[in-house]
Amino acid sequence: MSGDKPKGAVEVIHPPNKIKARVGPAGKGMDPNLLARAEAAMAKAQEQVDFPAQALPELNRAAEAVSLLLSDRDNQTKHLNTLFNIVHDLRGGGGNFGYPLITRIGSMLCRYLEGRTSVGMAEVEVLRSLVDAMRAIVTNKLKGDGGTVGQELCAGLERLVG
Amino acid sequence: MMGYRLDRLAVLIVDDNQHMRSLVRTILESLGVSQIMEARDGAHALEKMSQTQVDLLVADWNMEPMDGLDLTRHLRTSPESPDQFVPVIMLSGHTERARVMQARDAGVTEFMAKPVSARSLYARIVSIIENPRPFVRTNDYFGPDRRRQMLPFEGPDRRKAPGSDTAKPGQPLTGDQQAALKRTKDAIKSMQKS
Repeated sequence: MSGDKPKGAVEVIHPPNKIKARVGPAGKGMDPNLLARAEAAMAKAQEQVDFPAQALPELNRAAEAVSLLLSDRDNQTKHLNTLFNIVHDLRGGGGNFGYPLITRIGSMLCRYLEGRTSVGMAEVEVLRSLVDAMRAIVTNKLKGDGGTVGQELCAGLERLVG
Repeated sequence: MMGYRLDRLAVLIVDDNQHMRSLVRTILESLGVSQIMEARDGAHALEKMSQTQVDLLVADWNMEPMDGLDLTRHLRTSPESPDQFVPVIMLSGHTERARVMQARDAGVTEFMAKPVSARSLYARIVSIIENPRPFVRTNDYFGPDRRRQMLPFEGPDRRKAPGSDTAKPGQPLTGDQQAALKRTKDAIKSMQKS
């Protein structure tokens, strides 16, 4: 960082386009055939991932963090961060591996935690329900939109988090 | 339409989740990229970059000990940076506008919200090839020009102002929330029985 510049000074740099030089002059935009090939390969790779096996231990850790919010109140901020990080990672993966409900509920939880540095009994109940719902989804391998059960569950949780 | 010769690119994937790394690798391989490296966090990425030339990074945000944001800041501003101008595509589950702006201010080139798709990754690579942005140096920023609206955020803007705590801890649930809580618990129980 250049700390000796006059206040408000802006230097604009045009670095060489190394990537363009690397890929060469030929080509323009996206090649639809290449894109179709990549989408097909990705779909195949997604099917091979056992998302519940990966997610369940993480959700068990999340449930433990929720319990610690009450039993270790002095370190609530730490446990809230742990909870956020676990669920944030899962919400990122859920949509890619056939579990969009995990993304949907995980997003509810992350939004619910935004701006909170401490929680009381009521909030812990809400957080526990969100984590329990995600655990139930992966335990029952509720893929896709989860059908009627999944939709009702999400609608209830959305009312709960407001 | 003929695409670019992406087989000439060296791409480094930085993610602590092995499944996600594998998915991004699959997309890149299908697009023709032949030199693909992987790192499990920011520090590991820097180690890889000290050993070999990297043309492009696809980096996750949340990683430990060095996350994608710190990695980008290091690349842009550290005197020990292996390449201050290397394009960084940040891949993240964060979709809130405030988070996207945070990534932009760290110096990322493109932001990509999860779930990742082949189309979105391909489109960002093509954008980096065809529309390179100038770099800007000010007293408190070095990185791609932020004036271009290159960082669309996907999803609703639910940001709460920093420090605002709209939900006071210990406030009881409303009647509606209590009813919703009961219905949710019942739904989870019924799923566990089935």
